[in-house]
Amino acid sequence: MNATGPQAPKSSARPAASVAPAGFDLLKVPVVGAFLRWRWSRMILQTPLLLLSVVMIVHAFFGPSLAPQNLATLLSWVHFRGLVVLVLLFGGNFFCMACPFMLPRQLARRWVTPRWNWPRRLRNKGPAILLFVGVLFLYEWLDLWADPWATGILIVSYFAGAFAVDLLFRRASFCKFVCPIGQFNFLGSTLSPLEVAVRQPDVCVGCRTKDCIRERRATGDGETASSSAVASHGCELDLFLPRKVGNLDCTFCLDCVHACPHDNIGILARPPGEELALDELRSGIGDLGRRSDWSILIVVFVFGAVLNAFAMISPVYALERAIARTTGLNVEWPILGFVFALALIVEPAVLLGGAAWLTRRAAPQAASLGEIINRFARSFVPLGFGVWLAHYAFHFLTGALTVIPVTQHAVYTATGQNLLGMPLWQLAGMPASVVLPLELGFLGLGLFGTLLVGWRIAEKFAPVNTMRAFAPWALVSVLLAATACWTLTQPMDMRGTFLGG
Amino acid sequence: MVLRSAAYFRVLLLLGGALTPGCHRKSADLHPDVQVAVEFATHPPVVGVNHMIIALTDEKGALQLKRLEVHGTMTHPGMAPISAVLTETAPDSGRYAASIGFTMAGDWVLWLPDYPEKKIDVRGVTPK
Repeated sequence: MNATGPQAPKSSARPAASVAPAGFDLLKVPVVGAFLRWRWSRMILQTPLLLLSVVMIVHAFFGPSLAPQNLATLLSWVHFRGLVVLVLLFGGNFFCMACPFMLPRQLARRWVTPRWNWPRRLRNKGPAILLFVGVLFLYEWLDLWADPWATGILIVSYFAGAFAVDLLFRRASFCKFVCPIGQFNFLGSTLSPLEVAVRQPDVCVGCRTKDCIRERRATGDGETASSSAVASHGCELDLFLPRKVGNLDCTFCLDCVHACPHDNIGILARPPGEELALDELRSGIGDLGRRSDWSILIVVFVFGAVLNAFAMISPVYALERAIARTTGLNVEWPILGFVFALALIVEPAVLLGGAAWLTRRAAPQAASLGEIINRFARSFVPLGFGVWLAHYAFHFLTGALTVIPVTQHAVYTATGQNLLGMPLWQLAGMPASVVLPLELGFLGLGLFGTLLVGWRIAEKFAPVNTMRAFAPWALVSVLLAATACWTLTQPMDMRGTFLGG
Repeated sequence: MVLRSAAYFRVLLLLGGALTPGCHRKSADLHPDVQVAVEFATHPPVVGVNHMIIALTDEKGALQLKRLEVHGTMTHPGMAPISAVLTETAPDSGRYAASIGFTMAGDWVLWLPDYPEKKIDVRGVTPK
C-alpha cells in the first residue's frame, strides 16, 4: 500500500481546480444555512441520534428477541442503511455529520487530550478495509439481521471503538483510518450533489493563517497557547480546503466552515461523480492512482455490494452446500470464508487483472497492471453505489412503516400502557413489485455513471486508442451490472442456516 | 484532570458492564401451561398458500378459543408481514386450520397475538 500522509499547507498554496462551480450553496439557504453555520449545529444533530442509539441498545438487550419486533435490528438493518444511501444520493455525507459515535468522544476530549498520533504504518485504509470485510462477514455468519443481541453488541462495540481510538490518538483518526461506515459514506458521497468546498479560490491564495486545517487555541490571560481551550479545530481529517478535491475523506463536520476567518467555505452543488474522473493530487489523500489501499477499498465496496445482495437469494445456499459436499466441511464459517474469498479476492483479481492486461495490450504504456487498476478502479464506484442503493432502498421502501408497530409495541412493553395505540402489525411499506423498477433504475444509473467515468479515465490514459483502452472496463462493468440485475430479480431467500435448511 | 478522566472511564465501564451479555433475557412466558404445535400439509412449506393446523393444549387438554389469529414475519426485519384467521377443525378439538401465504422463501416466525411469547419457527420456506 502506498499511503500518502496529509499534505502540509504551503503559504504559496495554489488552489486546486475545484469541481464545485459557483452556484447553489446550502449554507446560504435561509434558516438551514444559518443553522449549519452555528457552531453547535453538529452537536444538535448528533444528540437525537445518540439518544436513539441508547434506545436501540437498551431494546437490543432487553427487548423482544424476534428481530422484526426489535428496534435495534429494525433501525440498524432497514432504516439506517436505507436512509444513508438515499441521503447520500440526494444530498451529501450528512450521516457522518450527525454521527452519534463522535459525540461521546467530543465530550470526553474536554477532559482528556489524546497523546499519540495515529501510527505512520497504519495511515492508510487497511484497518478500515479489514473492518469493512469483517462486518460484512459477521453479518452473514452470525445472521446479524436476525439477532437483536448481536446487533446490540455491534453498536456498543462501535461506540467503544470510536471512543477508545479517538481518546488515544489525535485528530479524527477513527473516522479517517478505522470506521468502515465512514469509508462507505466517503465512497458513496462521491455521487452526492453537494460538496464542502471553497467558495472563492482567490481568497485562499491570500490567506496566511490556514485556519481550515490548523487547530487554533484561545489564549486568555495567564494561559499558554498549548494549555488553553481549542477555539477551532480545523479539518481533523487533514483536508486542506484549497486543495481538497471532492468528498473523499470528508465527514461534513463543518469544522472548516467554523474555522475559516474569511467565511469562504460552503456546501456547494456540483455534478455527482465528476470527482471520480479527476487525476489531480488531493489534499490528505494524495494521488488516487498511487493509492492501492483506496483501490482495495473500492473493490470491497463494489464486489461486496454484489456479494451482500447475492447472500439473500437461494443460489447462495446451493453454492454453500456444494462447497460443503466437496470439502466435507459441516461448519459454516470456513465455507462462508471461501465464498468471501471467491467474491472479494478471486473474482476482482480475474476481472480487473484481465481488464488491465487487455488495456495495456490495447494502449501500450509503461504502467504496470497494478497502476492501471489503480487508475480505473474508481470508475466502478457508481455501479457499486447503485447496487447498495438498490438493495438498501428495497428493504427501506418495502419496510419503512414497520417502525410504527415496533415502536408501539416497545412503548407498551416499557410502560404497560398502549400510549401509542395497539401495534399495527399489518403495516409494512411499498409493494416489492413497485420497488423493483426503482431498484433497476438505480442499477442502471450506476452502470451509466461507471461507463461515463471509465470513459473519462480512458481518455486521459490513452488519448489515441481510447476505445480500446475503455472496452475491457466497460465489459467488466456490464458483467457486474448484469450479475447484480439477475440477483435483484431473484426471489428473496433469507435463511439463518443453510446446511440444515 | 486525571481524576476526572478516571471517573469518566469508571462510568463508562459501569455502563459497559450493564450492557454485557448476561443482561440478555428472553421474554417471559406468560402462559407456561399452554402448548402450541404446528403442522403444515406441505413439508417443507413453500412460497405461496400453505394449509396449516395449529393445535393448542393446556394442562386441562384441548384449548377452546372463539377466535384465533396468527401473524407471520420473516426473521429479517422490515419485511411485509402475513396473517390468517384460523377456524377450529372440529368442536372441542383444540385444532385450528387456516391457509397462510408465505410471500418469500427463507426463515419465518409465526406468532399468536393471544400468546405473543409463543414464537413458532418455520425454517427454510422454499421457493415453488
